[in-house]
Amino acid sequence: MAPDRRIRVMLVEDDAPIRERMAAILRGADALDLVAIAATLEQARELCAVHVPTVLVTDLKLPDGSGLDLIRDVRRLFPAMEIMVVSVLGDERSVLAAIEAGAAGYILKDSTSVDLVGSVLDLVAGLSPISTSIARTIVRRVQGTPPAANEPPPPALTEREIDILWGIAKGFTYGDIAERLGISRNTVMTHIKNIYRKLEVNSRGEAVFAAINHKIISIGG
Amino acid sequence: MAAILSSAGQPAAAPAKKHPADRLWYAVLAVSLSVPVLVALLIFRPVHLPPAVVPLFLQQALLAVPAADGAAPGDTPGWRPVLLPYRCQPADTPKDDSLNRCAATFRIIHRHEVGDEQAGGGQLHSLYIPAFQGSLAVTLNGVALASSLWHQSAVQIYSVVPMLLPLPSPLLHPGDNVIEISLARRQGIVNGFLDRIAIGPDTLLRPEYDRRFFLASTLPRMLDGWQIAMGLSMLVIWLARPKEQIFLAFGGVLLCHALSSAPAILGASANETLLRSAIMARLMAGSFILPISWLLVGQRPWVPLWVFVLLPLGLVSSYLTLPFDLHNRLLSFVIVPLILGMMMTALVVVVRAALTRRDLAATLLAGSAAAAALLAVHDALVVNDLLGENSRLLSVYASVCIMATASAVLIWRFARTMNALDRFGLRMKAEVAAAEEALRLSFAREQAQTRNAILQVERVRLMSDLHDGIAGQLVSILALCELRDSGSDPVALAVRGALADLRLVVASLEDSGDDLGVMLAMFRERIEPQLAALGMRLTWSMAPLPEIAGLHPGATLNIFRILQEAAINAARHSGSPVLAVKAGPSPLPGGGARLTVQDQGHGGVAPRPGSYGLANMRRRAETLGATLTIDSGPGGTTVTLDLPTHLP
Repeated sequence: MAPDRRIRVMLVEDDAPIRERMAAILRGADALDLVAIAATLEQARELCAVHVPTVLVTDLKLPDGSGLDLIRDVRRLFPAMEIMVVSVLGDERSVLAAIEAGAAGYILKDSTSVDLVGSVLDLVAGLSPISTSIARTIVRRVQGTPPAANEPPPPALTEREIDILWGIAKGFTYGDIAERLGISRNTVMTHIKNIYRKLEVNSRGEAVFAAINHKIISIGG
Repeated sequence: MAAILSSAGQPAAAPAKKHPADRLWYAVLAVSLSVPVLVALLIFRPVHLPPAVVPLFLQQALLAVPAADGAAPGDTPGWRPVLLPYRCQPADTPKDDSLNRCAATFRIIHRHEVGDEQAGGGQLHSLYIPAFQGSLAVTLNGVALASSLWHQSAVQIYSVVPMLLPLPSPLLHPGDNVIEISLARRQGIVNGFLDRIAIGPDTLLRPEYDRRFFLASTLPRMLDGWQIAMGLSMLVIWLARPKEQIFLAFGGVLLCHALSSAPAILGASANETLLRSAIMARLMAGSFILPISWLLVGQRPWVPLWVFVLLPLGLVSSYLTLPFDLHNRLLSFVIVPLILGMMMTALVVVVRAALTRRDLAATLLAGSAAAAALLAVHDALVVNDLLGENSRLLSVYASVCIMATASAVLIWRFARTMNALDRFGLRMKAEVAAAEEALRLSFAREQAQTRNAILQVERVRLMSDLHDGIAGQLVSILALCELRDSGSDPVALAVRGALADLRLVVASLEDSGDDLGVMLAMFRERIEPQLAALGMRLTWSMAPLPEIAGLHPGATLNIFRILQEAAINAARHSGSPVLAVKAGPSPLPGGGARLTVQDQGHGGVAPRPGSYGLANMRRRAETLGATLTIDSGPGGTTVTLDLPTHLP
């Protein structure tokens, strides 16, 4: 009965100490079931197909390829799987690229055990985190100049979603924004997940990655 | 009529609405209608002579006509009474003698009463002839007094000038005196004419004579001067703006008109050729009336403008080449009717433009044309002696009236054009300034964008390097420490510090758009997990912040490091469970922003040996031009950073 209720998690991380630390944290959590651990892209693909976890926690830089490829494949093959990216710096460049590829959450590599487990649980509950930089970047894309022919059109966000992004970009916390908009903190994070999904629908693989970089470069502020 | 015109010209839906231009037209119409009315009031007003002067005028004289055989007038006893004014009747004179036709002598018997109060005995007496045509010779008691030929220039036989002759007192006997006035026809004059004559004290008659002389002689010369000056001005304007042909044509007309007065100005030295030239100049002026009307009302002529030069050219060449009789016939039967026809056409053009197009210039010109027509009517009445004595011919002023109006219209337009140019110039200046400003801003923006782009490229590269290299390794070291169950040993602490600082460096490189709030938001994201890891809760409050210029990455990193140092120090050493970070406007002079980091710990912050934290904070604050205040006491420690509005 109990094992059925636990969330099936798979970890992909090439750096041995980090992998071991995170594995230890995930394994130690009651609500989670760490079903597989991979150190390379190839290994990750195989294990994913075998175990089909509920949540995939993956690094972006893998010795035999990019984590982005893994994310895209998983989104295509297992659309229901939630993907969380482990970022060293939490910078919008790597995180947004992962979101465009299909990830719905991110966490810093040196997060505390509480944060790491909490993030996985939030993600399964349909809640996604966002940072100021990422919000700002998305807002720029939505309200920036019209995209060129080879760039993806900006996601069609609702007014509420843009309000939330603006709030985050201006330094408000989820709690602040929830209070201002008269909604719950979790609803804010649900909106963020919707925004991520819209970004993903708009994605065109590597071209988007380039486009984001280009956008960051071309829009001065 | 106005209602009909406006409803015809506009859709029926809005007949009540009057265009502002319409209102202007009605005003101009009122002015141009008032001109002929004023002229009429002026010229048809009866002239009241002073009561003392009226009885001096004679109604009657004795007339003698020279016999056909050429006997001297004095010998002819055939004096018969005649009424004055006298107009030569063809029946009075022999028809065969064309040279002496209308030659006549008038005899007046003047009773001179010395001591007569009314006559003002002892005063100078004069003979006053208000108007005559032809030439006069006057004798008093058989002594020749004067001839009008002495004063008359060739052309003044057309205009009617007055004559005032003092009667020398030695010649003037008490009792009856005989005054004889011989009227002779002069070349070009069809009929002789002699107005009523007055004899009386010079003081009474001279003002009346002066008035007449001014109108007959002085005023025309003044107008000549005006025409020359205006004509030359028009030519100068045309020289500067050759495409405005109206200035050439109108200047030419004015100068031709002035030239036609040349015989009158030159006086006795005028000869036949000059007289002919004057007539031709006047005709030339007339031949340009039609093209000028077209140009003035802004209508396209039916024929090219150069066609109108043909007529004056024909006139001159016929005068130079054709026999005199043929030339005269051509003049009378072709050229003059042609010019009259063109003038009538011009009138039609002007009146039509005034009524149908509501052209303002045309309306004014039509008004002055009406005034000119009134002058012509006046002269017709004068010639038929229906206006009584003291009236004189005024049609010489008709063309002047029209030309004055046309000049006024042209000068007005010229000034209006200048105004429009001024406005245009001002607008252009403003627009150029605005465009320059926009360009400058755009250039500055572009430069900023280029700078940002370079910065972002560099940041992306740096981040990529850090991400793949040192940051990953720091996290790895941290993981190793934790795996060995020594997560809080000094190595792990140092690595955490290094990682935190690395993240601050990356954050500082982000473009915050000179927005301190955005910049602080990025700091909050980084400090909050660190404080949480150290067991400290963050409270964050932001008041609206003033704009801080110069938030470049270097300054941003300095602010970040000061706040980071203050926050981490509080977390490690204060013992306070809560850290409050506040941002708001600075109360210090010069404005700026105030950032405070406040704990509720035990205070006692002081420089410790071997620790450079506080010194570093002060140094960074100095670099920023900011004021750093650390207030540490039993109630806690407050670090206050006051930023200037412009960071160096």
